[in-house]
Order: sequence, then C-alpha cells, then structure tokens
Amino acid sequence: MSQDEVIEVIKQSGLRGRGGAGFPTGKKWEFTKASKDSQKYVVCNADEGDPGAFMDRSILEGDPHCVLEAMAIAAYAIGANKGYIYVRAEYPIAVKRLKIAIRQAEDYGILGENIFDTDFNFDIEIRLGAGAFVCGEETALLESIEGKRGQPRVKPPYPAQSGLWGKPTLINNVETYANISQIILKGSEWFSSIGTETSKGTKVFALGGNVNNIGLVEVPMGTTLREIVYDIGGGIPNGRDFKAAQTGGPSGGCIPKEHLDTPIDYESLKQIGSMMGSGGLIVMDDTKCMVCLAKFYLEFTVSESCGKCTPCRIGTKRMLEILERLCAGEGSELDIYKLEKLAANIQKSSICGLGQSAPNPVISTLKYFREEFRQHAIQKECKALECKAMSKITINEEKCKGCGLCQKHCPVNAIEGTGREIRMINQDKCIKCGTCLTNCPFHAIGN
Amino acid sequence: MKKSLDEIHKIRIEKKKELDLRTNINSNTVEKHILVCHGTGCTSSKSEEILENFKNIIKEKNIQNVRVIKTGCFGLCAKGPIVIIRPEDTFYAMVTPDDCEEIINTHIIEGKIVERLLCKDIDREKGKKIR
Repeated sequence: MSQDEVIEVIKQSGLRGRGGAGFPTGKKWEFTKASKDSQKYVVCNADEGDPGAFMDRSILEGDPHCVLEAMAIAAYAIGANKGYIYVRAEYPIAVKRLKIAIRQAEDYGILGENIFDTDFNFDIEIRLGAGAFVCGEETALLESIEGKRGQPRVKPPYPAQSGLWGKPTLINNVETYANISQIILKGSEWFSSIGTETSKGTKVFALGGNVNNIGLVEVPMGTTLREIVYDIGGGIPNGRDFKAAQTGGPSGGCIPKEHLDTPIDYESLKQIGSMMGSGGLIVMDDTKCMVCLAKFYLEFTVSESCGKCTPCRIGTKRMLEILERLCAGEGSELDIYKLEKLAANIQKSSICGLGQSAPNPVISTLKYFREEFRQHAIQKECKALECKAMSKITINEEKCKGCGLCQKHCPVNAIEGTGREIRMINQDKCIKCGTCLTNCPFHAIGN
Repeated sequence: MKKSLDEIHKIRIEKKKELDLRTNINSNTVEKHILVCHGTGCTSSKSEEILENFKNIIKEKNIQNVRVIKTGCFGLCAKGPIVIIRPEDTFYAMVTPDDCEEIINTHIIEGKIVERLLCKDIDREKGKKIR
C-alpha cells in the first residue's frame, strides 16, 4: 500500500478520534502528510486523566503491540521516522509492558531501521507524564515532551503544521490507534459497517458508579445508554432509580433519565449537552445531588487548571465558590444566574479544551436539574440528602414498619421509639450521616 | 534476531495453533487452559500472585496438559480477579491467591466445579451461574 492508500482507507473507514473531540482521523493524517518538512513526528496520547476511566490503560497493558503497530502505520503514511508515547507515570504496569513490547518489536525488526528491508525507519520512545490533567490536551502534551511546563499553546497553528519542536506532528489517542491495524486488516468497509451514520466502529467505556457490573464495556456506536446501563451494566443496585449518567468526565455533561434512549455517538451526545469524551461513564442513582456533582468536577478542573489563561484560572475558581455556597445553604437565586453567565464566558474565552469544556458539568446539570439548583438556592434544601449542611432527615410514618433497623445502625442514637413503634428522628442529635437512609428496607426515610 | 516478513508470518501461523482452545471451544486438543486476567483491575487485586501460585502448584504436582495463561481484560473489573478455565469455560470471579490450590485440586484433578467461586448474577437471560 502506498502512503495515500493507507490514508484513504482510514478516511473511508470513518474512524474518528477516540480522545473525546471526535475529529476524523483520516483527515488528521492527510493534513500531517500534506505539511512539507524533512522531519515529522507521530505521538500517542496515553495521558488518560479522566477520573474513573481506564480504557487506554487496559489497551496498553493488554495489547501494547496494537498501539506500536498502528503508530508505525501512521508514521509510514505521513512520512515520519520518530514516535513518542506520552503515558502517565501513574500507570507503571502499562509503562513496563510497553517497554517490553517496544524491545520485542525492535528485536524482530518491526521497529528500527529499514523495516522489512524497505527504506522506512521508525522508532518509538516513551515519555512519562508527571500527573497533570492538562497534559492530555494535545499542545500541552507536546510542550511536556519537549521538557517544558505542561501548558497548552494557542491554536492555530495545529500540531499537524507545527507540533513537536515546531515540526508537523500527528497526535492520536491510544484507542484511536488500537482501531488502525484492524481497519487495515479487515478493510474500511468492515469498519464502517459498524456504528451509526456519522460515528463508525465501537467505543470502549469505563462503566462505574451506581451500577451492578462495574468494568470496561465495548459497544458499537449508536448503542443506547439504556442498553449500557441496564443490559450490560445489570441495572442500578439496591432497587434504586437511575438519575443521571456523566459521560466525558470533567469535560462532559450529565445525561438525565429522559435521554436514556439517546444513541451514544458523537453528534447525539453533543446535541443533548454532553460529549463522548474519552470514555468515562459514571452512573448515578437518586441519592446523588446534582449540585454536588457539578461541584466535584469543578473542584477537579480548578486544581488541574494550568493557570495560563485567566478565564480558566480565575473563572472556574469563582464558579466553584458559588457551588460551594449553594451546597452550604448560603446561596441565592442570583448565584444561579451568575453561574450561567460565568460558564458561558469561560467556554468562549479559554484557550484550550480544558477551559472550554470545564463549565460543561455545570451547564448540563443546570439544564436538566435546574429545579434542584433552585431548591438549594431558595428553599435551602437538598432532596438527595448529600448536602449535609442543610439536610433534615425524617421518617415517613406511612411507610415505617417499626423494624428498628435504622435505630440499630444510627451511630449517634438519634432515633427514638421501641418495639414495633414508628420511629422518630431527634433532629438535635442527628448528624445527617444518612446511615439510616441506606439501611431502611422500606425506603421510609427521606426528607 | 531480526526477522523477515515471511518468518513473522510463519510465527503467526504456528502461534495461532496454540490459541485454538481460546477461539474454538470445541477444539479437540487435550490441553486445559487456565486463563488469569492481568488487566488493570485484576492486577491490582493480586492476579499476578494467582498466576504464580497456579504455576507453582502445577509444577509441584507434576500435572500435564495444563497451561496457565496471562490474558488481557475481560471487562468485569469489579468482579476481579477473574480466572477462566477452558474448554469448560468456567468463569470464576473474585479469586484469591489462596483459592488456587482448591481450583487445581477440585477442578483440574477431580473435574468438579468450585461452586463457591463461580461468578453469579452475570448471565441475566439464563438466570443462572455462568460456567
């Protein structure tokens, strides 16, 4: 196959970047090939930082050769002779196995000089990340490989024109590479026969949270969230109700119950205010507070913001302060308005993907659970009982059977009543830990 | 050490035979394969130790035709470490290094399934344990 033929097959297959943004991979290869330069680079983004996600890690640990092979194919297609895998240092087993795989490939002559007696040379080096989330952003990753501080560059120019040390650089995610060899082997038609109109192939998700079967799932694009949560995931534990699922981690958004039947592909998720992301999929049941959820992700982005641009550095901090106020029962309706304003501004004015997507969890929770934000701001109450500062736990007299289980589990003896009597909670003693709530077999405790 | 394209093809064909039992459950090989998951979740819950234990016990007892194989992720990470025995396709979950002896004695030598380690509640349609 010629270089152009390889690129054509990838283009025809309809493969799109699995790192989250979903840029067509073939086009990226084409742009990088079109950039004229004597030196080009191929980079693998293995800086998987989305909390709770470990798809890339699993690929690197389970089949590192598929990534090496794909990088070699990519290098051949765009005319590069040097590759870097940027992998986080928190993945020691992945690094160890990658090193073994690279050595094996070099021994067999699959990597190195004059591969299979052609004039194609390619070798791969590993670069370790030091734990910064922002280094998963492609230009920050390049800075980090160059030995500089991991901060994003202003785009354009894109890495395809000016990447590593100013040279044209192709950068793809681990999962994207993992698809390449199979596409070359089985053909673009095979690949494009899987999935939806605009999103081809399969996607791996790290399914976690309030779901029975926690682990990795690989599904064809277009599979609905309901199938993932209820069929593959085995439903929600303890007879609870599905409330929402967060895709894309701190850059993504939540998907509420009414969108359970949305097919999972790049466009559909974008349309409902979430995003594909790298593949983290956290399921939440009805005991989760959506304001707390937004706060959790904002805490993450605040601590991971590199600080280069003001909207992200200061804006996300201010947003977090508002969310903290709401959770503490000190917020007001004006705060919700301020949150929305800030979110829109940060989205528009941040320089990189981290900042531009940081408000997403807030925007999407506000979109679908606005009432919950209002309850926090106006009535000062958290129906999910997660915001301890303002929760008041009570027992529903109609549902209580007087079994006394709550009493047995209460750590501060705040529950009163004996025998088969309906139990009462002494609000002065109650520390709102929620233990009674999770132990009540009749779901009689709430607020 | 450097191999030509032909030599690599030959290695591929040869190694594929060893994989027969993994891809074809009705394979007529006399071998048994003990697959130990070495994915992310299972490794962090001691699957490396489990693999070592299996190897040591098999060596100690001089058992023939059983291979212990390190595999990639099976997907059910919360139920790890996962051990699958082929050709029966028995799916053991949450195996500990101490269970290895029992699996070898009961399953491999006596040919009975270790019920307590079977993965429950996965196969929804059949409504029974996977084996």
